[in-house]
Amino acid sequence: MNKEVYKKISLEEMHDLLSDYAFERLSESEDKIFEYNLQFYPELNEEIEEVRAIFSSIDQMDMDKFLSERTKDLSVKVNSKREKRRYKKQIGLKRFVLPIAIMMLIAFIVGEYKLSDVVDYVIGNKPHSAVFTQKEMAILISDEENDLINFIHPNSQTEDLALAFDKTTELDELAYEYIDLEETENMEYFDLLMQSNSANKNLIERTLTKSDISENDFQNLIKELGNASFN
Amino acid sequence: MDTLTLLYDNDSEIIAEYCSSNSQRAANALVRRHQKFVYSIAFRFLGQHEDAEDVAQEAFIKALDNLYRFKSESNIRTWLYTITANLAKNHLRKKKIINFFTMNSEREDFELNSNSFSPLQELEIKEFTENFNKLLGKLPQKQRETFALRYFDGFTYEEISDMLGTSVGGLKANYYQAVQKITKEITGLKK
Repeated sequence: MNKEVYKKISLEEMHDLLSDYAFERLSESEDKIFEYNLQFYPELNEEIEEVRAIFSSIDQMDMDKFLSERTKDLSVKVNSKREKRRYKKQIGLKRFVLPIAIMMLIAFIVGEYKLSDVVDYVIGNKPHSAVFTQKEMAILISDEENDLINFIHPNSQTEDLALAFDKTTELDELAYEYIDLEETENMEYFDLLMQSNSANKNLIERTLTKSDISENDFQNLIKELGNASFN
Repeated sequence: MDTLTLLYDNDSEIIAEYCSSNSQRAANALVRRHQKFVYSIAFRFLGQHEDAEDVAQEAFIKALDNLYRFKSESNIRTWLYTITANLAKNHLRKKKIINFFTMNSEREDFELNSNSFSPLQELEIKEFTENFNKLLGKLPQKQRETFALRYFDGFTYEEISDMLGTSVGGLKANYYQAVQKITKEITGLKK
């Protein structure tokens, strides 16, 4: 212990200990080492006195009182802030999570309803997903054939389904007859007729879609063509 | 120390009670026990009461929310220091960006209201505190933090080393330089 006390230390080491020595914060052994070595660095005595004088006024500042005043209701503020955040979190759940859950539930129910509207059918042993809903099928098939759609449900018998399928194909052909006419060699003639501002436009269209034409209709058509003005 | 903090012998008791029952009493005790320390860290970084108070509150909220993660073998003040310093640095960064766009200059605010001093003494102390805090703010961050943690908070060099990630030798040099600068500056002010 004594040997350590009488050990000479460098000026740099003295600087490391100086502040704590001035503020009396050195351990007993460090304190003795510092005091022993002060004789080798007498200029430090002045520095120590200066530090002590300055820091006595810093101590007078009463930092503790200053901090006490600044923080007197900090715990109350921390509590209320935490409470507000907890409340906001709960409100957030009500505001966002619940509506989203309700919307998802509605979407699921609507989706289920829509899906149930789609027709599934079986041809032979293979199941097929229908491209059409029952409503779409009703548009494609004329009113008197609507009852056939009832056959195109999963519970239908295979024979009925086959019959319905055949009928649908037949009706499709009829429905596209009008369009077929546009693509024929009469295309140009058809376009000219469609451009005319005729009151008998319906008649012309009806006439063109029919294979047989009455004498009366034919005469009306000729008359209409005579009155037609072309751009 | 108030009566609430006297209910507990040490931080470990507070932490144990808070973690086991989420006790409001333990939370309050923890805040009251360390509020000066946490506030002073925030104030040193930010130099403004409102900002320092905000950051101190945030630091405690964060600490309480994560208290169950805290390993009780380490010093809670070291942990609180890290939380507060990080929050204060982030706050400062945000503020600098806002000030840059709004062309605001930072306001210094050092008010001291006390009934125990005469008006003249109060004024002198207020003036001195103002100057001292400004002076402290001028020191490089490592020197300022080392000085404050050692001088005001009484941490050992080993504890400060954990907080700041600097070697004990480096901290001793920082401390000496900070004390030297403060002494010279205040001597200059007094002349």
